Amino acid sequence: MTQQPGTKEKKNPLEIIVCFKHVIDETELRIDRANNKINFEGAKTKISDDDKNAIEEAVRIKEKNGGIITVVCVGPADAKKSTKEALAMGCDRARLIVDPSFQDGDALSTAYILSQVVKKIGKFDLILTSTGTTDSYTGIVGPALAEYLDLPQLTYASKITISGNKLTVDRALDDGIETVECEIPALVTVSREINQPRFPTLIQIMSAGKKELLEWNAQTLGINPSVVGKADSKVEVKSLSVPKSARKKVIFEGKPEDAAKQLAEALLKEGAVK
Amino acid sequence: MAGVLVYSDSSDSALELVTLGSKLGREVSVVVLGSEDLSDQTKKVSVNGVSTVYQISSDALSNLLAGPTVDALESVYSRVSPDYMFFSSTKKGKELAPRLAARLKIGCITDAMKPELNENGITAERLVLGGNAIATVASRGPAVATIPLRAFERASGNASPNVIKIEDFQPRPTRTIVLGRKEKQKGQVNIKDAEIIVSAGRGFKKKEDLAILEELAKVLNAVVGASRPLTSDLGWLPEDRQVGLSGTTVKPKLYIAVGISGQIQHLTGMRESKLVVAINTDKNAPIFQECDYGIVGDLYAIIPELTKDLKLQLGR
Amino acid sequence: MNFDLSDEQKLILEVTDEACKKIRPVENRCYLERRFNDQVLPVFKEAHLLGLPISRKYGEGQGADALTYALVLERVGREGTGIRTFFSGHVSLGQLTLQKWGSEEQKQRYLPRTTNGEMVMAFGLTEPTAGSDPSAMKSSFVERNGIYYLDGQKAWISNGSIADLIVVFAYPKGKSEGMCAFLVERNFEGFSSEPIKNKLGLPSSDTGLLYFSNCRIPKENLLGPVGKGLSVAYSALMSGRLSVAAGCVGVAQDCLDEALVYARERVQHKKKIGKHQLVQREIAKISIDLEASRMLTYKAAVMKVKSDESPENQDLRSEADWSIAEAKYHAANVSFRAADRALQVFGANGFSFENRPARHLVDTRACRIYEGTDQILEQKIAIKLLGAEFESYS
Repeated sequence: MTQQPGTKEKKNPLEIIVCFKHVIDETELRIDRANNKINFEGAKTKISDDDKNAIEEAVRIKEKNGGIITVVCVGPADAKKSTKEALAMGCDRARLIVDPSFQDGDALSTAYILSQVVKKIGKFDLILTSTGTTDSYTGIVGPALAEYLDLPQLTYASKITISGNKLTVDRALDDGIETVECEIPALVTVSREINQPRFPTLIQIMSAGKKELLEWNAQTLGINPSVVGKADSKVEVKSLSVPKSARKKVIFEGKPEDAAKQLAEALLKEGAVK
Repeated sequence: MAGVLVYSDSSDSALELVTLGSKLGREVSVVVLGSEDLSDQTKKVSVNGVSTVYQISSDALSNLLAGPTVDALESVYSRVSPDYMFFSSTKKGKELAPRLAARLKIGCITDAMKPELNENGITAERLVLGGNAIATVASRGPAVATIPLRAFERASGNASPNVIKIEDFQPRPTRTIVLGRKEKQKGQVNIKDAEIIVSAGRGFKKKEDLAILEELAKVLNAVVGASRPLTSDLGWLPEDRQVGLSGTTVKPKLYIAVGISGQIQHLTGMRESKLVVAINTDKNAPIFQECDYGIVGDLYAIIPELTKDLKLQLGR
Repeated sequence: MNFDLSDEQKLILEVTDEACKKIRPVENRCYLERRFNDQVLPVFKEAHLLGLPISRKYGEGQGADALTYALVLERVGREGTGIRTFFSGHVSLGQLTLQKWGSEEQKQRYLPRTTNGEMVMAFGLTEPTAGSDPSAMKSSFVERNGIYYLDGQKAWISNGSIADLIVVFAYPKGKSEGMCAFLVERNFEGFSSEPIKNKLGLPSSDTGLLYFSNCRIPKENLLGPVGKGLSVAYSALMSGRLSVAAGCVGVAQDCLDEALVYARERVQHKKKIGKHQLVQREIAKISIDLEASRMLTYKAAVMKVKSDESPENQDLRSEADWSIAEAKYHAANVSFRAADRALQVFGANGFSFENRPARHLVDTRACRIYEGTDQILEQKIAIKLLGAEFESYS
């Protein structure tokens, strides 16, 4: 193909893949302390909070740099609702990965499945994930996915800038901010503080239904069910219990001066203040 | 019986992992990494319970970026073939462990509480569902785990472990470079090791009002901490005062939460406190489920009273 | 029949839920301090809900149908009648009325700014001496040189003292027919307002007194045809009542939720009070009432959707009007009873505004009065069945 003189070479649009998890809304779970049980019946579901930041960031990068966002979710069939939400927020197309053999796998298994999804999608410049999901918060998927795809991992991003092939990320580490740079393609995990996810409008929600949403399974991905999910998990959840708060929970009410006095006495009695 | 390998980017935290390894009755080897002379670091981790210290010094490790660090850890791991490898649950530790596990095709448990060995792997507890539940998880076979800070005492006592320098380390080519680093804004205060912390939350209406809490802190010889909104969003206090998931995990003898509702991110950061006191207007605030003593009421009325009472009682 | 919500409806409800969670702590403070909650507007603006049922042609209008809008108001209603009342005034009575009766020019002029929250709307029909009987209205206007001059007073106007644009009704001077509707901007000469104090409930919501003293209204702010004010008012009340019904379903739901939480935790006679059968009865009764109200409200909303789709069809309109009246009557009474039952489950602790049932009890009392008292709605429902010749006040 010959270039017209004076016209710039047309750049390929930035291809972004963002991964999210469809989780139970942990803020609305009913905890039955007496019977040491968590009641999942009728529990609400949502896009994991931190994953929303990753989706938001993908959309902001697209708004700034142009590009196409593919959103990926490995989850149950009812994750379709959350997938539509991601599309409503501004992602362009979705891959919902549902297969019974993918259920109950550990996070490494999920990362492996995602790596196969990314390979099937083919072209990409940037993969975004959260630092951890609100249900189990293992933080494993991002770095493990980077490993399976042999990509640089830029974790805990509080700021992402892309210019040409150059990716610059501010990483919010324990002791400060580290600014790193690499060439795309790369995988970035975002910190919560990177942005405030937007509310999609009803119009965006309605039009999300018209965007491309493909459901893939083990067969479409060419994954042997025996190497993923529960069958292959190297870490399994043995049981779930309700944390017992050993706290005394003595509450003083009444007039401020009386309550304060009672508290001061309790603290002295405990030997907590000297 | 193979041993355990531990690595932390801070020597102090590495010593906590050594204690864990010894507690599990295993031979403990420590990895120290860097780009310069590693004898200081090696000396720090040469304590009772450590059998071998593996050193890798390489220019590629000057910033301890995930790529070359995982390469280095992999090379030690393949030499030692331990059953388990422990990291600290710092941000660095938590980005390394999963990648190493994926490479080695072994299990990974992050934020492992109460780690124990079972017949063929490691068992631990993890807080899940926003702290509403504890999952007991177990690895099938060898695994890497990250261990919350200060879960174990630091190992001590001078010892002379074997020191093995790995000279033939070859990192994979990397395209990532560090452009700069900005240290966290630090005050004079060390919240991490404070014995008494009084923490402020959204219940305070303006920055100036924190004065009443400073007053209480003075009487108690306490350090003033804060929940995330006051440091990150409002900037009323420096970042290093933030208690919580994205701030500092604290373990004081007394923790007084004032005007803090007790979001899970905050609770995670102070759960290990010995005694917890909560003062809040909302009696349904989650903090009251996690406190030993609580007052439901207006902090503006209560704090001055409490300060007055304690001042009197403590004779200050 | 299918009672499933679509994914899209679920998603807009999740957005609403997030906004509601944001507003709850603010509302708690405002309620206890008995002051206006000025965060309702910014929080729901951020969630793009201020022009939800308004056409997409206008600014932030989202084009939701009446059912989707009712579902959202049900969720909003759980936060309290005060917050839902903001929507009723601003959206149901204000913007929807402007959209239905306004000229294209008026809609272009105002709706983009009302849907994005730049302007708040209110609806001024009630007067100190004219509530259920609009013919007793004393507000009047004269026309001079293409300008209307309005005199009078309006009372109990939701959003009244904060609104920037108000739909106001008045008779031509000296007459009690030929009512006209006007769009009055706050900054029009001769307009003033003040908030009503010492209300039984709704302390965090604005209820205003409006004064018009030779208030100058340009000709282009006449809303709807000359003399058709009563039709404008009646159509507004259909939307308004549906919003009240939906909100009240939310209130009853919140009463049920609160009662359940309390009954699971509170111990008396050495067992959780949820194990006491008389407490179980209160819970069962709230639930049965609630579900019945919800079904009536959803049905009314579906009827409204149908009527909106065929605006010329008077039979559909009349059916929808009747369904909405039934739903509003039922839900307003159910929410009041539900609050009372929940309060009883709470026992002494119920007798405090620190707990939600007490707030609902006083707040939802307004719903049996505004936008058609219980009595007016009972008549309306009966006349529809008996026949128009049984109209009580004609």
